[in-house]
Amino acid sequence: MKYIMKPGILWLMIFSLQFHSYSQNLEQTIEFADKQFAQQNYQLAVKEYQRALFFADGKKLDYLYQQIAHAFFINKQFGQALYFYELSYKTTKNDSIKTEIIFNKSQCYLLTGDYKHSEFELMNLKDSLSVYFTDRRKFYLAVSYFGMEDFKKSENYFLSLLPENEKEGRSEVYKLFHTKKNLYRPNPNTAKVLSMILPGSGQMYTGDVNNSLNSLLLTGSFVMLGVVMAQEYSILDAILTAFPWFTRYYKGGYLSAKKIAQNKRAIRRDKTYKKVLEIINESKN
Amino acid sequence: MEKIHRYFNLLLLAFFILIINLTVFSQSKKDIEMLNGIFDQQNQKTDYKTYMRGNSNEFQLLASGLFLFYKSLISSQDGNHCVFNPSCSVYMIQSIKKNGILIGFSYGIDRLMRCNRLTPENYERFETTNLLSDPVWESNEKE
Amino acid sequence: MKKNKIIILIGVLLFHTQLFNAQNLKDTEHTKKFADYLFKSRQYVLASEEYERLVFNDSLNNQAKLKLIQSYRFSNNFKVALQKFDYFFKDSLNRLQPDFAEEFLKNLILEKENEQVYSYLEKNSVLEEGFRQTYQLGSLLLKKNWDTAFNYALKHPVTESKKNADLHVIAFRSKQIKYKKPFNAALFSVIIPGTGKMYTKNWKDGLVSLMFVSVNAWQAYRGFNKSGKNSVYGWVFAGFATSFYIGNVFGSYKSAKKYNKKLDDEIYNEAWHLMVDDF
Repeated sequence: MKYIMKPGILWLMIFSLQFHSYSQNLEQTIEFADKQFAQQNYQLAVKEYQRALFFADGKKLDYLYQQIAHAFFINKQFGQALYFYELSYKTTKNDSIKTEIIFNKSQCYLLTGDYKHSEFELMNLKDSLSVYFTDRRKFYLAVSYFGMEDFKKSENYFLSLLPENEKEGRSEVYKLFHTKKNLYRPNPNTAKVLSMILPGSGQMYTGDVNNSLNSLLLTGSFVMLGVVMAQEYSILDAILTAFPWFTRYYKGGYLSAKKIAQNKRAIRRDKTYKKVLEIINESKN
Repeated sequence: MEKIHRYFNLLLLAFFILIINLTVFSQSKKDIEMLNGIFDQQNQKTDYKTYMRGNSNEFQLLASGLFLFYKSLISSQDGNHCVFNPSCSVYMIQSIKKNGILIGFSYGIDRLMRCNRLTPENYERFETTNLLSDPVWESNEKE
Repeated sequence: MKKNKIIILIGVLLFHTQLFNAQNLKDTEHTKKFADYLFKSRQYVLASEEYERLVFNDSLNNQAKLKLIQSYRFSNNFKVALQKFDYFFKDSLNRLQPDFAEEFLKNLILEKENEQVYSYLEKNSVLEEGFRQTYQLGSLLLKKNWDTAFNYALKHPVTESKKNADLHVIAFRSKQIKYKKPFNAALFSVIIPGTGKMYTKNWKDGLVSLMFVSVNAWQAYRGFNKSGKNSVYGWVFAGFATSFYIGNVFGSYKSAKKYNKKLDDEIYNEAWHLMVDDF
């Protein structure tokens, strides 16, 4: 009896363990989802988190919402990510998670170019933050204001990220923000007005020689055509043939001068922004 | 013994400060990395040179050359005037390639005459660009 | 010694009850609940994965199969849905029960396999007559076979269902379409530019074409009038005028074809919406 019983119990236990290893309870489901998330298998992770959410009965909601939001964020589905961050924010009672989520939402807005909303989110943060979160907030605000083209505020926040004793870095940032060429040139309106006065000159001002010559030659040739027509035939013929084409390319010219200037200015601003980030990055080392 | 204990405490404190600093800095580095590219400028220029390929005869090659000339030197100086997508010049070259030089050219000319906002009811409209949809038409198309 | 055994037994029992208390979220019951939740919240792609597991666990569960196929249909995977029919009911495809047959037909229609819709309805003997007639008439209309559809509608009178009655109306209307002849349109434009387009009810386009041709012709006339045959002005505008003239002839031909296609499409779209909207 003794010898039969003992292995029997052992077998029973082994058998039951095996049986249970197929089953998944709530904890295991979340663990499985976490593992999928870590392996960048986001779609499956989202589904498993949803399964956990469905059976969670109000437990761990904030964590699950947050993970789902993270997965959407990584997949660049920022609208959905924002929705789940919001749910997580509403369900959590943990202050540091709340703060973290506000930064996440701000990231979503910044990456979709909605700088105003990003600023709005950051303004919702409490004033009594740890040094780490205060610095992070400053950085995010600096980026938001840069996006909103409020360079004065942006500069102040960037400077506040650099300690007083880093004089070199601070003066570099100051210089970057106060050199007109970096943020305000070429001026789109100047380019437009120049091209209105003389076709092609606005494009030349932005440094686009090809388009400048192109515009000048094209409008010039229609002026020539008009003059020839007026001399050879009549002024009416000149107006009927050359004038519509001239106006078309004259107008197209100054509008495109403005566009080129806007584009070039955006490229310079991007360069400036990247330089500032580099300085901030170096100061952290 | 007391001294050692104190040193050890200090060492532990230093260690923790180091770890905290490391994580903090690595986090803000992550931020910088993530937000580094948000003001990148993307150039979305259509490469019209592709139309120079796949011509079946000299006329088509000539038409493609004229098209390229028009696109790069004339159309580029023009605010977008055409009300259609594909634009009239692209329609012309595609039509010539599909229907041959004479018939294709005729359909292209017909398209030029339709290039106005008088008959929007005949076409579908693209919501985002407000352009009218009028893809190229093959003469032997059924129905 | 006995005491020990009892203690061990109790221990084992406790161990079991502990484990049994923990829920298994992937067993049939939970999977079904979760799948139904996903289905109801319209996350059909995710739902289809869950239903796949349900069907895998219980290959006789026809309800789960139907839901699975519906999840595929709602996530626009009609092809996969049809493949599932092939897989599940390979031998009994012609004896499908009404709800399954209807699902099968819906997927065929959405996949635009109208030929197969008609022939399947001939083969399946389980379906009732009214249902069969409605779907057969619908499939004929969706094939744009106006004549066949009209004859079918004549042969099979209206049943009680509203869908069937509406399809009859469409079939009769399709017979009355008045097409414009492309050749006539081109001919009109050869005689007077622009009139071919007016014939296809494109009044504005016709007028614009007429204006293009006449203004350029007039300019050419002025050029030739002034400086004779050597007028560059005249030849340039004559070239424009002929181009516009020929372009308009081709354009009128095309305009008639488009006009006819538009009429066909109107009928087709009505039939399509009537068939598909309540899927």
